[in-house]
Amino acid sequence: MSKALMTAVAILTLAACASVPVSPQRVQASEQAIQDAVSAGAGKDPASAKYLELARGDLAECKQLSKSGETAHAEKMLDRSEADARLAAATARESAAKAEVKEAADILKAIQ
Amino acid sequence: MDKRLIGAFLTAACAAGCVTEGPPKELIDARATYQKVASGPAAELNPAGVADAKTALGRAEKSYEDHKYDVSRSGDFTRDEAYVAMRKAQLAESEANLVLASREKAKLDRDLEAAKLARAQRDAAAAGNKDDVAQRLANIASVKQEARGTVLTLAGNVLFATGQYKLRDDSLPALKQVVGALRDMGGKTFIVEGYTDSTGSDTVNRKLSMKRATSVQQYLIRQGIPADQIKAVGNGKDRPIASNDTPEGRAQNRRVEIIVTSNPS
Repeated sequence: MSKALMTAVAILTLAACASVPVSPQRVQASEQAIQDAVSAGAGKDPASAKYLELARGDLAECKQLSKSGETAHAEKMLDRSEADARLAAATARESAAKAEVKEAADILKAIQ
Repeated sequence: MDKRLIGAFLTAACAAGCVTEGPPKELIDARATYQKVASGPAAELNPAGVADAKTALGRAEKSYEDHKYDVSRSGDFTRDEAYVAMRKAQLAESEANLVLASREKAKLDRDLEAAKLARAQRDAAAAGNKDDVAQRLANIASVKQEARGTVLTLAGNVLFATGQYKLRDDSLPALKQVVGALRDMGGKTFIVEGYTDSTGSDTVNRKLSMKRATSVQQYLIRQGIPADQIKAVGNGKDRPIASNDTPEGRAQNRRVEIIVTSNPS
């Protein structure tokens, strides 16, 4: 292997090892997912609130890890946060829809 | 024991230990959750969500395979990958449940509309029927609301010849209408009360009023009013509704009343 090539490999390896912070866009996307869950009413529905809390916790941990240079781990926490937030939003919508079903069934029962 | 042999044994034991550690709990849970979701309604209702969860689970499985012999576990994010895979499976299920709930709600809304319409029709029919019954009764008898119930008063001279208790043939069409109206009321009990004027002895009057009430009662039963819902009473000259001093008053007092009350339940 030529010297030049070895140097290039060494530089690339160093670059890969250097700490690159988590992309702010990705953090923003996760924050947006949490915001969406809140808008869907996740804070008020007990089952969804649990996932919302996890999403917030994971996001906080991601920021902490990012600061201390553990980018790869931080990104995984971001993945977890986003997955939790999306589930929180979905379960909040599901609960609301089920509540509407129950209400309609009760009205129907009363009318019949 | 040979030192080299001991070393080899320890290495083998360590390797065996590392391999048999098995997948992390997160991966086991993610597999189970995915299996449950993929074999549930989500498979049909949310295939994209299930596929997404499958891809995420595949990543977790690959991570596990890549690191399972790596004792240091450095760069092993199998637990995180599995965690995300499980959440995606749960997401697919929740989205499918939302579809199911929306469908159920739409069906309930349709049923509700149908039930409202049916009720409105029933109410309208009942109101129309009630008006109709009241109108028909008013045409052939005087109708009054009293504390004891709805009271239909039929003139005695329309129903009977003087001193007789057999129903006059020409009274039957009118009486038939009374029967129809009474039958339409449904769920009621009826008391037929016979009355006379004050002419003649009380005993005769009471007997005659009883026989006349019974004639009407029997006629109503023959026309289909249930026998256990209809009673006959002879009241003689009691409870006059007009003066017995004038021919017109006496004519009014000779009467049959049908008292309609709600069935006690």
